Amino acid sequence: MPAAIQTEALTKRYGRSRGIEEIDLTVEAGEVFGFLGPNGAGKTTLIRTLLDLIRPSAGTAAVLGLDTRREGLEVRRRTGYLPGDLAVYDRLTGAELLDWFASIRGADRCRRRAELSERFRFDERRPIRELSKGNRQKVGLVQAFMHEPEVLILDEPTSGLDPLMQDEFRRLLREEAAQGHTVFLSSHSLDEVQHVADRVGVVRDGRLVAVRSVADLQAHAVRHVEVRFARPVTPALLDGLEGVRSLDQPEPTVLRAVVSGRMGAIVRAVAAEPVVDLVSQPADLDEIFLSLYAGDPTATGADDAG
Amino acid sequence: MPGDARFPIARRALHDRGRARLWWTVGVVAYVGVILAVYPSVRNMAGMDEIMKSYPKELLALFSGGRDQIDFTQASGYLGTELYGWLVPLLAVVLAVSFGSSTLAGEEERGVLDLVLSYPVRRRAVVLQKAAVLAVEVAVLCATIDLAVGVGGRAVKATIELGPLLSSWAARVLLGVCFGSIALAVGAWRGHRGMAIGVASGLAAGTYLLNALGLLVSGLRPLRWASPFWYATGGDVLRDGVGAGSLAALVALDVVLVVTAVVAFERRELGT
Repeated sequence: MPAAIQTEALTKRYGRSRGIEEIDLTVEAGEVFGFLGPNGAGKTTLIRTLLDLIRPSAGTAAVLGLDTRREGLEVRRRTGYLPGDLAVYDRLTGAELLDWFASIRGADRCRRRAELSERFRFDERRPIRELSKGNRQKVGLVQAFMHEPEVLILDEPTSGLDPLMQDEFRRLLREEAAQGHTVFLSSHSLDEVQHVADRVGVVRDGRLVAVRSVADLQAHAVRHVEVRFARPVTPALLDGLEGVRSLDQPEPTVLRAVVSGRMGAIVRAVAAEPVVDLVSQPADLDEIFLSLYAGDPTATGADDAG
Repeated sequence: MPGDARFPIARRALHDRGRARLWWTVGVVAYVGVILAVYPSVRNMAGMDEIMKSYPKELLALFSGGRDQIDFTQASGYLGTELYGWLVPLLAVVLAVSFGSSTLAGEEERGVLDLVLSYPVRRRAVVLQKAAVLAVEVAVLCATIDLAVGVGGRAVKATIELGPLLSSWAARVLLGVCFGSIALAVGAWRGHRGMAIGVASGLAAGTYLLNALGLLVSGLRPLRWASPFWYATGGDVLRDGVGAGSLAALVALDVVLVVTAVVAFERRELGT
């Protein structure tokens, strides 16, 4: 079985800026792959190349073993796409728009439409332009999934969705993966994809800098931990514990630490004192990325493939 | 109600034009009504012929599609000047350029084409279907005007022969499609609606003047063949019709322009 998505030295240059540079990426069939990077890193550029909306400057891309340039029509037949910045004929109602989209794919192939609309509580009767951003996003989700595509390409799919719908969306992704469908979703936050993705690729300034399993990343994940105590403590409480990277004490009753890996040792240590509050925040992508390298000097990420 | 699966792009464009089409129809029928309503008084106005002859020829030529002799006592002369000499062809061009620029470059700028082209549709099918809708829209507009003139004209005894009217209808449709396709092609090439409008209407204005003044300015005369207006509106079209050669030239021009738009769009890097 061919890989669901495979790019070889895929490069797209726009003038001097943006674009992607020599990306080698393989996403296996049945995998949920998170494509992570800050805004402007090149996530959307790669996605639009896969759909033949833009053409590579160099290198090749294949979806389901089909070349995205020569066999783009077949690629798009077997793919569902949710754009990052969804724009549709917004004078139409949801029903009119979905009818039209379904007619392009063949209405008989779009068997899941009603179920999906119901699942996301999408009101098909209202004109799209009267909808909130979250509800507008639902029409994008329904059209991307309704024909049961083998590959789903989703650009920042949860933006604007309320937490309830985000949960529903994650359930849907797991079902898709269980059926052997491939999901490729981009995001600027690890938090958003770590509960659904098997692996993630990190893209930065147009280059794929790391491809890791989520389990691996979580083991390296860096958190900012702040503990507030009922009485003054000494930093020695946490100093030298497993996973503590740095430590400071802004007030006598507060300790702040940067922690990588498991939290167990820290939780056990602070429990000896009267804890008023404990806040643990995930680090942003850059910090995770840096910690990957700091923690594992042999790591070369995906670059060893290229 | 799942629609017919064929020609999705054309169905969408025709549907989206619905409201605009209605207002265009109301507008042109009202205008034709006014022009016809004043015809009896113009026809019977003593000395109208003298007035017309006293006008500078250049001015007459500008509003008559490049003719320098106009007889307002004949319906073909009056309507040929007041409607068919300049306003009707220009309306066809305005409609065509407006549709041609918004349907491709406009939809790209709005970001709508992104999702549409991620569906299993060929780019050439997108352009060809949109070009077909362009032709239909211009044809409907011109037929609406002709029908209004035909029906309303009977009431004021301003009748026009069917044969010349039909060939002139075809010529106006082809003329509109010509400038609409230029807008399509520029939009397909660059993705900017403003640029598509600018280039297409600039060329329309330039070639209109070339034809209108070509009769009078001897230096321009040999160049009139380069103006699509010369083929579509040259001569007394309501009396003599438009010849097969002129129609063939317009057809050839339109085909070349639509093919250009297809080639440009196949190569287009879709903007976000």
